[in-house]
Amino acid sequence: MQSLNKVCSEKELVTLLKSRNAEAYNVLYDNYSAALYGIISRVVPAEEIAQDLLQEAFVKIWKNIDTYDSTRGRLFTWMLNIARNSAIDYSRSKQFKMEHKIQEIENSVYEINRHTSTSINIDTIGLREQVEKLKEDHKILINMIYFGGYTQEETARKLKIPLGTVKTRVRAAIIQLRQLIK
Amino acid sequence: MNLHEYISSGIIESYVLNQLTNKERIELEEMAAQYREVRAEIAAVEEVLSSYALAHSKPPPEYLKEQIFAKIQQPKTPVKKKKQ
Repeated sequence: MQSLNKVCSEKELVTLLKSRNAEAYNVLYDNYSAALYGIISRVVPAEEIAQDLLQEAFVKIWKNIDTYDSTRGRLFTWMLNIARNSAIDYSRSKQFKMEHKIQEIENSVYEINRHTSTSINIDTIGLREQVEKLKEDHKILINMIYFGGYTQEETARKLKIPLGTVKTRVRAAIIQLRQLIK
Repeated sequence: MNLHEYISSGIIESYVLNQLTNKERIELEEMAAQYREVRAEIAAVEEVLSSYALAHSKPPPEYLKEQIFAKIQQPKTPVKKKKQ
């Protein structure tokens, strides 16, 4: 598994995944489950439900891998969207209160997760510190859009600020993050 | 709208987050096919949002892996192999 992990490019991995290669799914799980679970947990903090949702997302990835189109973006982005959407659909079906959600999202931003994944070859602690450097009003928007699943239009309506302002701030936050993670 | 305005309009973020309508998505993919700058921007936004996701990583409990793999490898009823 380790060897597959190291030698495999994303393209090769996708080919193996599409042929339902079990080892490839092992690599996929070991590399990305913490990121997917992290996202799901931010949207739906209840652990048992978050675990069910991770399972659901992973089964969807397995079932729908043939619809993944590498020309439309990276495998990771595709999987993140599946996990996010599962969690967001769930939270909406439960009719979470908006305030409730923002509150949770805000709290989770400051939560320090002591368990760091060994399988992700990236300094997640460092990244977390960088994320915390975002301006407060930018962070709220990014979190609403990213973890809340709101479109920029919906975000503007919910926060009662002009759409143009939302767009400018989201853009500024992305640019700031880009500089921070360099 | 010039290229720079298009890139900064927020549409690329929405694309990466899979929030566009079909019409908008097709339009963006046409722009991406045509302009290197649009492709570069999509890649950059993907990179940022992937990092954002990684920054919020949380390892799931260990038993979950076994459970999930049991689930996806479940249909092991003898299926006739399709010749392709």
